[in-house]
Amino acid sequence: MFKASFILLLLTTGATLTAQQTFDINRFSDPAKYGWQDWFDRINYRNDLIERQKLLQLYENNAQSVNLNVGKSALIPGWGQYSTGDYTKGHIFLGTELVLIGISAYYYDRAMYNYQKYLDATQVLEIENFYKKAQGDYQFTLIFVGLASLVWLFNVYDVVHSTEAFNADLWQRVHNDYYKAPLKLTPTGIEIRF
Amino acid sequence: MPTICKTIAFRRGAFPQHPIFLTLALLILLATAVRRGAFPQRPSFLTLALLILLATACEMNQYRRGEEMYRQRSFAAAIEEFDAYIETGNNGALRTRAELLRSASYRELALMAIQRQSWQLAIRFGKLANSESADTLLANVYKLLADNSLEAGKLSEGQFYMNLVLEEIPRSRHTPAILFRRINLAMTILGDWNAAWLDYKKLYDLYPGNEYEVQAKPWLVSYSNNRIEYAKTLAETGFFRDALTILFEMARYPVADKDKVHRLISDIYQTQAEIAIAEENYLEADRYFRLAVSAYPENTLIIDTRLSQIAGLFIAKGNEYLALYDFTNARIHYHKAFDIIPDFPAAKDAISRMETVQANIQQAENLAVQANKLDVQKKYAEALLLYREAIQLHNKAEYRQKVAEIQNLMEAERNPTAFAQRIVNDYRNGLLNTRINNVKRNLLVMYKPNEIRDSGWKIMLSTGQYKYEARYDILTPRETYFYLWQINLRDRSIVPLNKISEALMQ
Repeated sequence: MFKASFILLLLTTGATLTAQQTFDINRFSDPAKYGWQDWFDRINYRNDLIERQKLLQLYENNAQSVNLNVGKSALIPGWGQYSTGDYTKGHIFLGTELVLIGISAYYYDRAMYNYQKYLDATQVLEIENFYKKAQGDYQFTLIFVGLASLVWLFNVYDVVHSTEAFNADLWQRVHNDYYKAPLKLTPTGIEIRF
Repeated sequence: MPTICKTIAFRRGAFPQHPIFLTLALLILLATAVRRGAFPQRPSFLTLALLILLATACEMNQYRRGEEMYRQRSFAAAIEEFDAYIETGNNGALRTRAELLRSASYRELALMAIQRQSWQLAIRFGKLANSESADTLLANVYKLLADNSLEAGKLSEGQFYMNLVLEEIPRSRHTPAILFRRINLAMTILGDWNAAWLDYKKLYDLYPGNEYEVQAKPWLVSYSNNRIEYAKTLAETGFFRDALTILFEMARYPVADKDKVHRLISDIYQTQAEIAIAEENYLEADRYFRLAVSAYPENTLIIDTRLSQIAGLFIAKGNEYLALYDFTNARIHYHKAFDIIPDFPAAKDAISRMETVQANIQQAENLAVQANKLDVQKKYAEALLLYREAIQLHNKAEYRQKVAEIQNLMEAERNPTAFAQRIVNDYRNGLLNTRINNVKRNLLVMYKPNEIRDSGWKIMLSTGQYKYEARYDILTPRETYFYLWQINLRDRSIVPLNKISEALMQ
């Protein structure tokens, strides 16, 4: 089962990564491929791009780093989500992680207790009984550690999306604020909208 | 050139990015691993899973791949990555950055194409780059192709590329040279002077004083002289607007004698002003005169004199209305003079004079009202004085008549019979007496003097106030003449009271 799943994953990834396409230079260099039929279309697009380029600095000042948020969430699950303002997710990740680690710690403690009993036991029945208990508790510990790891992994994965969503919203806000602002500083002077 | 782009190795795959898919896949792996006891023995599995997660979770990765390819100068692959990201990316800022880098990538490809002298591909990539710097490259390519075509004698192809520079990159550094080249072609080969003039105008408007503009200027001098002559012809035939359009255009550019052009413009405006004067449209004339002065200030003195004349015409017209006591229209015309010459002294004097007349009339009316009251009270001497004062202020027929009436009444009061006799005697310079004497003279021919009885004038009181009857009877043995008139002392009127008296008066 493990092998089959792993091979399936590799095949899916490999197939998509190695997908080839015939290169068509005419299509690639078609000046109208972005919908610019003439010089006016190109100029309109260029002006729009220049306008947006001006907003990039504003965006950079407030955008959040994905790496930093990944680091935060890796350190304390949910921290990155808190940074992006996604408090519900932050609470869930942090809470779930604490509960799972707490449970695994509880089982680990029980496993160690039973293991000590097993070491201290002198009778065959007690030795077998405590050994089984210690092993069972240890397996539960592993399961909960695994689940905690899974939650931690998903938390790290999620913070990337949260940060990107935050940054996308930020750009939208910057863009809207700029275009809806009644007073604008343009290359030709100050523009006031009524 | 296709080799430039052969570095495109793959398109972005459709790796499932949704957390549910990933989570499920990882859960299966993890569950299998835990069940088989693989997990504790293989800690690197966790690292692998984390790496896969991060590699696929981040939307930015595609953008970063594009950036990386751009840095590695794999521009075609970078463009593919950027295109894909721009199409699907959610972050507008990253999309904008991707668009900027895509533009830079196309520019690099255009540069490569130029190095390989693959001009058409360079043009296509230059257009796709769609930036200021790419425009510079495009302009260079167009100019090079235009130069090559012209050198090879391919005139229309050369023109095509020159037009492309002017249409697509109008602010290119090659624009003056290309305009100069087009002017040269239009004048020397095509013989299209209008096209040359249009290009020169563009050259001067965009680059005044540029070396190419200075070089082209002398070529257009003879053309401008012809245009000025044509404008003169138009003006002479009444097409003033067309003539002015040409002259104003000529005045803007340094190829024509500006002084001459401005003088011509001024002359045309003056001609239009004179036409307006002939049509009695003085305000329009004034407007044209002002335009004439602004076009050629040296004409100020002549035009000012003419303006004074026009303003004088308004005052004369106002005076005509004043003579008719139409103060409203008189004032309107006096003020029109101010429209032409502000604070025109003659108009001020005329208005002052009009106001005096108005005041006098008002005062005369007041005096007449007072005089009328005195007249009713039979205070004729005082009434007469006031009426005479009123006449001094406003020589109105009504007042003159009143004065005459009062004088009559005063005479009538003093001695009505004598006054009535005098009226009869004075009537049409003694007409009645003369004709009665004629009648008597005729009768003396037929009758002896003792046969004719003459009653002489008899003045008697008649019915009605200040009315008397004048009677004159001539009797002969066979004929009788009874003349009878009624005399109104108030107005000195004489009314015949029988046919014979009426006949005598005719």
